[in-house]
Amino acid sequence: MVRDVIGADGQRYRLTHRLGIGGQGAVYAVEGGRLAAKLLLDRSEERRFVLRTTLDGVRRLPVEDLATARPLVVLRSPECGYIMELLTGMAPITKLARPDGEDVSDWYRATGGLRRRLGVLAHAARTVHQLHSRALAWGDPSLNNIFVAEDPTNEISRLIDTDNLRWASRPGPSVYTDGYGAPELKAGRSGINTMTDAHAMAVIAFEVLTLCHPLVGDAVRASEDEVEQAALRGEWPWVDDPDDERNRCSTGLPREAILTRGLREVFARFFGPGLGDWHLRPGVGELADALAIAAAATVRCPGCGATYLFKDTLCPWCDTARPPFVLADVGRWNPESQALELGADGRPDRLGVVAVTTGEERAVPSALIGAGQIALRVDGSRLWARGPGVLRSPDGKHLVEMDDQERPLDLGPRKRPWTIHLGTLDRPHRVLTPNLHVGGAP
Amino acid sequence: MRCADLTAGQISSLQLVISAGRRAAAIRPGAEAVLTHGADVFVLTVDGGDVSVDGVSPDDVALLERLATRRLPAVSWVLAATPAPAPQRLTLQVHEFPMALRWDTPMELAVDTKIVDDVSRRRGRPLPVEEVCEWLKGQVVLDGACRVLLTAGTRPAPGVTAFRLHGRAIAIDVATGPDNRLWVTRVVEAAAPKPGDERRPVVLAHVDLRFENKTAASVFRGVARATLDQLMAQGDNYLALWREYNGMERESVLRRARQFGAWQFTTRRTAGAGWRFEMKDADGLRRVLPEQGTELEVSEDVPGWLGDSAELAAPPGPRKVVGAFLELRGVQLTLGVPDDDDRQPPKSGWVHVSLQGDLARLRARDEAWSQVASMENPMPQLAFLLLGQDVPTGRRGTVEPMSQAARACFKGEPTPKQIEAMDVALNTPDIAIIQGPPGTGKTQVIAAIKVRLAELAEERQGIGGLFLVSAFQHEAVENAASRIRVLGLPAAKIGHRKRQTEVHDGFEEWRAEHAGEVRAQLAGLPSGPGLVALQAARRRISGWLASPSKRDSAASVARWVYEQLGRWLPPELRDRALSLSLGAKPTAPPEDTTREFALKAVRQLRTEPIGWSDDGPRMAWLARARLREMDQLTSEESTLLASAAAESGEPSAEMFGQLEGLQNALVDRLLPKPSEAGPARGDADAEGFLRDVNAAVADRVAQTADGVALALEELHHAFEHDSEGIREAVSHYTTVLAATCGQSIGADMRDRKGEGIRFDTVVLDEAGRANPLDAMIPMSRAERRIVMVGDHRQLSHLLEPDVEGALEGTVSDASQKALRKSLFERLFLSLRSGRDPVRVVTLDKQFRMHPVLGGFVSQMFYEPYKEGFGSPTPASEFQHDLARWPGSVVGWANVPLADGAEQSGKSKSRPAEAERVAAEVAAILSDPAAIGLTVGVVSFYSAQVDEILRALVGAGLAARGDDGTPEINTEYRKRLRVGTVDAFQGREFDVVLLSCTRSSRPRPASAQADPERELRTRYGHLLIENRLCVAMSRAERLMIVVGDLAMFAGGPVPALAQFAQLCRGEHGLVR
Repeated sequence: MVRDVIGADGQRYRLTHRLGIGGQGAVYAVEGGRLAAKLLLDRSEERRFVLRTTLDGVRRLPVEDLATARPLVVLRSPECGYIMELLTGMAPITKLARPDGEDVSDWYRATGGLRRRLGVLAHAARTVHQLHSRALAWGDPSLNNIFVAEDPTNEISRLIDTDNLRWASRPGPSVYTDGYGAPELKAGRSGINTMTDAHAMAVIAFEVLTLCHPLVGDAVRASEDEVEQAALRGEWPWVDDPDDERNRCSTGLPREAILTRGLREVFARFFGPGLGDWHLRPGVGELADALAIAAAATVRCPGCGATYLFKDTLCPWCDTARPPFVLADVGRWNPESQALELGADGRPDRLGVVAVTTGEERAVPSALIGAGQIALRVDGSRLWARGPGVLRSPDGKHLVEMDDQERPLDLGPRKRPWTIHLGTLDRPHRVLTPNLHVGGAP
Repeated sequence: MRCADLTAGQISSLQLVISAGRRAAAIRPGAEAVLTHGADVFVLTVDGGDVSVDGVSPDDVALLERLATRRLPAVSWVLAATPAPAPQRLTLQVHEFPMALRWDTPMELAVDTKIVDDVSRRRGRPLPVEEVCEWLKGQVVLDGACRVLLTAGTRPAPGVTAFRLHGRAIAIDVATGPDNRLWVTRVVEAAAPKPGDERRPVVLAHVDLRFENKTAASVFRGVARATLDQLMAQGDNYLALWREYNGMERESVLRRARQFGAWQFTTRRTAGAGWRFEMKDADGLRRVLPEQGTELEVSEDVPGWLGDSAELAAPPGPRKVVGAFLELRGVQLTLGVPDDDDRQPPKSGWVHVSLQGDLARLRARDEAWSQVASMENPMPQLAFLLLGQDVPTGRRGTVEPMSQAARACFKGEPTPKQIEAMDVALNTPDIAIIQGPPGTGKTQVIAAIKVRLAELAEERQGIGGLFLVSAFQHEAVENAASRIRVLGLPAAKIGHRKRQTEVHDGFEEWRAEHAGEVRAQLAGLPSGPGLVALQAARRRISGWLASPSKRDSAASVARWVYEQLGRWLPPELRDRALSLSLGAKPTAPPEDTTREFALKAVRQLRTEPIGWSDDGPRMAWLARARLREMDQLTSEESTLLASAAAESGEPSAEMFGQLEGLQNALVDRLLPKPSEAGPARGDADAEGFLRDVNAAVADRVAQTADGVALALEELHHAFEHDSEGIREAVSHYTTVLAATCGQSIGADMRDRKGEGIRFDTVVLDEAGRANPLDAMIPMSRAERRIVMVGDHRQLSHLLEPDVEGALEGTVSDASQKALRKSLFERLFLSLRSGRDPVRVVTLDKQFRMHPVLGGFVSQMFYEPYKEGFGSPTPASEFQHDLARWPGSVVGWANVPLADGAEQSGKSKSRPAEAERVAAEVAAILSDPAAIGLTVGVVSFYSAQVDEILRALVGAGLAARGDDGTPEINTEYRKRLRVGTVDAFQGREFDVVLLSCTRSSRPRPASAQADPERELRTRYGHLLIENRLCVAMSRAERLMIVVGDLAMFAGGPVPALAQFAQLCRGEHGLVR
């Protein structure tokens, strides 16, 4: 059924077909292929008026440069809704969290595998972090509200359903999706704010990565609804609580294979002490960083094409041996000692790593080096690097400026590695130290 | 009354051209005309002259033929004649009536003073009785010959004959008085019948009708009275009985809904595939939980029919949300709704059983019944056939029954009876009944009939009207619809099961065939040099037009167009491409950065006291400066910002308000518009240009030989990838439709073909199994021909058990029997004997069963009714080498009462027998000679079926599935089937085992109060012939009965007693 709606700007938008429907409304495609219309279904006229005013406010919020599908034009009476960007070729991230078919590992791989999930989640968490850094709270993060590309190699994400976007300091009606609402939100102790957003994002990340809800383990799932509601209110321990095993989850992927130590720590803080007391909860920026760092620490299996954490010597999906790869350690430069900062154990303090397998180009995540795009590529025993940086020879005597042209570093046996500096030697900056690993332990 | 005043009867109008013969000097519009037919010529007698006429359009020709075939009594008149004064074309209006009565004696109707006064009042002045009589006569008697139109009404009192005369503006009610004379009782305004009125057929009567003063009219008796009485007796007939039945079904529907009641809910939210409701009284609801999938409706208020109101129809308004019951967990009730349903239930309200589906069904039946009863359906004589009365005989067709294509539908040569069946079906003037006992090739006959009809339709270039294939169940319809092709198109199945995703009606095979053909053609064409490149180019342009990306700016696409497609484009387009491409800019235009700056400044405006105290004036000044650079401020806005910047203290509340308003307005102004949220400005030009390019390229390609390949490629693409689109298209063009009885006029059908749809031919398969009222639905829409195929000796339609119970109390036994007989059986019996032309055929040779089995079935179930059949296939074709039953065609595995009695309950079972069945089945399946043989296990009782499955688990042939119910192991699934009789009609197996299940000790004769009842209690379903017939005619090679031999040998079930006898003979074995 084709119909027209009119925007506040007087423009006519022709709706061609419905794309989807949710609790609050339905989304339609607009003729032209670039826009979509979200229509909120609410009967009462005053509610509609209030909604329109709210949407107008959301429309003006400073988010036009962020990866969100925000209201572009609010619709005129009698409709209640808005025009937004049409996300062609994208679908909710739900499909990365719900296995389809008998073979879970096949499906996990077919939908992008581990690295893609980490990348997409990091991208989404980063966007939420950007919102938070502008003092805005998203409101209702859930699996349905994060869109990812259909293409399983693509790591972009978009946040939709920004109707509830608001200034974090302003109170407003509590909206949440069951399963993702923070315990204090569910219990009515708090309204929507950046910490409730963070909780929801952490749940989403955990679910997408491990295919298990962090608060609903075997015991909770087997009981009635009431028990599940209690668990979501934070009254039960989480599934990986180190001290309390009551809520273990037997389904779901093994954590050691999927999550880095950094991620495990972050999740433990979210769902352990952070469950009951939001002060102890990490911010969503920390989650974004942990996800990005984890993504960088994955290698690709030449056998089945799946991605896994570099610390596994065998591919956990198909048992093929780990291929040769380059591991670039990220450390900090100490201008006083003119050397890498050392950690407590006397070895260079490692902030993170970037794992690069033959045949692919990897960008170093900004979580590790801040701004500045460094991309690394491996070909045989050579590492090709490009981006704004300086190459320093192992003996410190030679410095080579880097630019957008790829430069090779020979990492063959008996060669000490050159290092990549992201700043001048008289100031603190990040340093990449690449090493070639040919199978075996790191 | 003049002919031109007629409004009754079945009206058709046609355009005729005068083809030969004497031209009438003048044919007046309004003149009566008589249409006769002889020797392929139509003659119209009008205004004292004869002219030969012919139809103008093919529809008119078809209509003329139909009129000639039906030969119903009719009154026709000329609607228009052009050009005057010597016309060559006529428009004729024909009123057909189902019956014509002829009475020689004049009919005199008495008029009393009341009527005289009434008529005087109508005419506006007092009239003498003679004038009144004249006037009345003029109103109802058709000029020309003495004819009136009358309807026989319901009997107002015993012994009274009453009828109504129809006139132009009035209707006259007449009834016999105590003196046995006919009196005019009432004169009323003529009015169109309202829906829901009981409709009776309007009949043409040739009689000399007179109105007389009361004293002068004579007594009414004789032939005329008897006929009218008979017409009135229609009140008691079959159709009225069915109306009562329908009324009771309505009652039982209401009762079911009232039993469930209505349950209040307080909140609702979405849940996955539907809605979740929080129920107030969940415990109460739990006690009346319906079956999974039951349709429940959600309303704001309790529906009226839950109280006393008998009104079932929903009040007008948006349709309410209906969902399928999924689960009740705690206090949460979950209902599932289909994906495309976007209605929202009220926030709080009531959940109750939905009557929407039932109401629609009852309404459709009512309509069909009413149409047929009033003989206003396209085949008016149908009512006669149903009532068993004489039909005014139409002409038979003269179509050749066999053709090469039809012959190909049979395995081997068709038998004479099969050919006769086709002849009858193709050439009947109205209806054909084909009885197909088991294995007689009924399906092949149907297929051949369809093929012939399709050929006929093609000969007439598809203008034969629509063809409907119908049955009572979706599966049967799908089976029937597959393998039909008319004009190269497959049948289209209309209507679907709820939540049915795949339809197996032969469409997919046809699509695959054609996709293959097109592909082959494509492969055969030489592909031109530019074709592939052009295709890619067109796709890229279409892609860009559909969703232009920021990266691929219009200018760069233009450049690509110029470079890649330049030589194909006309010079102007080439030039445009060049100029557009020169405007390409690599990055976003500088305006955007200025705008960003300005937006930032606007957002930093302080509009509240706390923020203002920080840096309010400075921000206002900054904003003003930036915006003035961009020329975005009006003078008032500029002044406002200037005064805000100059504020030394805190601004007033009013100024804060103004500043906030300004901030909002400026943000609105500066935000990029959605149309700009894409490529750079100048886009409309680019879009237009690219569309022109697309068109130019397409033109160019079409002109080359590549054009054909292009068209074929697109067709192939559609066939491969747009299955739904092709299906839609086919359903609009195909002349063969398939639908269940109920959905033949359902919403889907109406969507496609409009209201008032008529089918040229209706084929009703498995006609014995359709409920008569349901069967009436497609039949009431048939115009030319109805073919019913079935077997009333096998399973018949199921009566709703509680309605049957309710009826038992009210209606006589004979009528009850009438209710149980299917429409098919009724028609079969009434039309069988002594009718001309022949309408009924029973196929008489079966090819499925071993001759011994075939002979047995024929002898027990068909010969007593003179419907016996032979088994020509030699016994050697049906050999088996099973070690356990050597040389046997029939067998009895005895399980005496001592081994275990039956177990009672709602459905009966007998574990000891089940064990034996399992053992026998295991023995058979493990026999090496059984490779490739199929085995069927039948029982009349569902509990016994469960018991047998359980026993099969023990025998290692089945295993418990996920939900605990036993399922046959995969390796045997294709060869072994267990079920009740209902599931088996139409199927056949090499070996069949029938589990009798009943086994009990008879009570001593003294304790038996009612021997009939005693029999029914002990033998139950086994006494029903239909089920036995189906159960015992499924086996091709070997039929084994498992049961208590003592109970049945020589017992009251003749078929089983005879079977036991047979087992003791040369072809049988008892174990």
